[in-house]
Amino acid sequence: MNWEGKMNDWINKRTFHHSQFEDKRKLVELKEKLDLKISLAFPTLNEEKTIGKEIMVIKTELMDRFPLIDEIAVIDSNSIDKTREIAEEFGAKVFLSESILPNYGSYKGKGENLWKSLYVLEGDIIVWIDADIQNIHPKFVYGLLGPLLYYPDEIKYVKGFYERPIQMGDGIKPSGGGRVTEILIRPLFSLFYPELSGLIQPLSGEYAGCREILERLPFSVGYGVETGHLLDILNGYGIDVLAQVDLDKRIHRNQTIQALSRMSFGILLTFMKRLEAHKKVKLLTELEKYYKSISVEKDKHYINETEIIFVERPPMIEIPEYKKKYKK
Amino acid sequence: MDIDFLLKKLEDYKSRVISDAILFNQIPTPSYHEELRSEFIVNRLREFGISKIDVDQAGNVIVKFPGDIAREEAVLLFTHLDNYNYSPEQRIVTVDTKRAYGMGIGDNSLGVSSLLVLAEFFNKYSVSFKHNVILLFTAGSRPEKDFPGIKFFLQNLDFKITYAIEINGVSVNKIGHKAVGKYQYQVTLKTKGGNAWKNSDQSSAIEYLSRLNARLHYIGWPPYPKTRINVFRLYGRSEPNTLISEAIMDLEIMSEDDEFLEFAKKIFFGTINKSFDSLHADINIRQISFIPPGEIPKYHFLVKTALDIHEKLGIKSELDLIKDESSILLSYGIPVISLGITTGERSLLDTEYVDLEPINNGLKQIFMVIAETMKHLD
Repeated sequence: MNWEGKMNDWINKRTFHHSQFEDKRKLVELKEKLDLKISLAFPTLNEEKTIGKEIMVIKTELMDRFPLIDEIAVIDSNSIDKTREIAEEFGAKVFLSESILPNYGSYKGKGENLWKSLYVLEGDIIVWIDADIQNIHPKFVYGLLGPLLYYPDEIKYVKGFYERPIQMGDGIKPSGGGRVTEILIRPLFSLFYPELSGLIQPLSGEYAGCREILERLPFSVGYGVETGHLLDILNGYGIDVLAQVDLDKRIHRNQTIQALSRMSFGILLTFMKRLEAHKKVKLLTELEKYYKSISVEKDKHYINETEIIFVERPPMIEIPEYKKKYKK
Repeated sequence: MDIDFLLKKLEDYKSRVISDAILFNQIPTPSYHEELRSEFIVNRLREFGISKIDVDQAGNVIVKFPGDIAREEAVLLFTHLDNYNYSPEQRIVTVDTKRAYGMGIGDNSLGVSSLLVLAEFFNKYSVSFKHNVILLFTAGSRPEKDFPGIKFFLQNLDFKITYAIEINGVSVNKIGHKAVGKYQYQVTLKTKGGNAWKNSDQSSAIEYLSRLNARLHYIGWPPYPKTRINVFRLYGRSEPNTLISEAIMDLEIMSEDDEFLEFAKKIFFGTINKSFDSLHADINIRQISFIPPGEIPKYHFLVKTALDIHEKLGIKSELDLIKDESSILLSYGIPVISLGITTGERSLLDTEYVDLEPINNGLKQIFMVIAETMKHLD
């Protein structure tokens, strides 16, 4: 079978729709039969507008009504708004990222929060959901869990994808939001990792995985965490442990093109390191750590440099405190 | 039935009411196309383990909880499931520790979620009352088509409704018992039109209707029995430098007394005749709906029970008007009161909000009123 055939085959086998898993009683039965614990974590930084609603809806539906989730946690990067207070009020366990494994220091970034969450969460399966979803719905969680519970021996990591209306000023635009994927990630996958080209939204912030795999992955602390996961899972476990789920529509904040450009720089850093580690390219020079952007002031153009630190946390399984806590 | 035990358990259901209201509010369905909303309600009821659910031709969702005494009579708990003028960015709900905000959350996502959660609660604790209890989620609750949902339900009943309670999202501190009589009309005026500059001696259809509006406004409507005309929409095609040739005015004639309502109607038609007699224009007046005035008296056991229970729960309440669907029930001779779930503001704008804290009392109040009023039945 050629690449195209193989990828179409993977898409057919490993692409689901959340509605296939909407029987929550069945999911709870499967979870109990497999004797699993499931954790949900929100990495947060100043999300007071949405976090309360997200916790309330998911907790009510998937903990109180249908006991699918065993714990909901917020891993916060020193929010200066009321994120932590609201999250606590609505019943989540709240952790300050820098207080988890303090001997290992602290970095600012989503990947850092995800990595540290592995230490504090108790689940065999971990679901990570971004905290800025405005149209939160339990499908964002049970949709991701469905493939892991229905096909526990085959599928170990599930990405969400969706139609992405984006918030632009006061209104909502019906499409867009996958710009970095289409302009940066898809061409890179096509060049170096064509096996991953069937992923519809590889950068989506909603995903779930089995601890047995997550604890063996290094985590980029910043923008590259999602890309790093996919490349490492492909390299270590093969494409068939990956699946993707259509979560329909997700309304969220839209980022500026400048922010997306910075994000792309961070993702590229992770990507280049992986290419080298996977012996796909040999870098003959050190990569620059400063992202350069252009600004205009009074008709003059200026270069601005922003340091994007490439830090990668080692697989959690290598951390002695973790091994001790989980008797690994 | 251990009422105290059940009331204690009902406290655990507050977050379910809020969460379901949020999810229900996010469903993109305009009036008269409420299939997605009905589907949500039906799926939820099935998830609660309720299998006997009817969806009638009008889109109403109906669930029956059989009573201890087998009779062809039932107490009706109802709420409307539709919403007006959907647009996605207005349906997103935000929540803080005190309130939930968003257009539609109070009217009527919270009403729907409360009735749903009561169904869940009745089913979970096998709650049964002396008489049958019917839970009804009405579709098409807008007057433009003369309330097709509730009317279809009432015209196709195969049992007697002893009395009814309407559940509204807001306001918990108001007990509705009185219907304002109401005629709703749509007045369409067609004039010659033309270029506004060249025909400066003429008026547009919108201008003529605006003058009619002013005339109706300045009629000395009586404060008792309270009577008035409310113009709630005046619109036409919009084009600069043009005498708009067609305009529409939507209005309602309202009175708490049926004789005054008819009198006001006569004045309305008389004013139209006077205004447009000399004008060579095509005027069409269409009656959209009619609701007769009515009330159940303050000493009716439904009102008295609700007042007593509010006092027990520390809710400072006042008697108020009922909404149109309840008024229709009254016009069918069915005693009805309306109760709210919480406090808040029903603005039909983004500023609409509901307070979270009073929801517990709001739920308890409904349960207590049903249990207590059943005692008055044979």
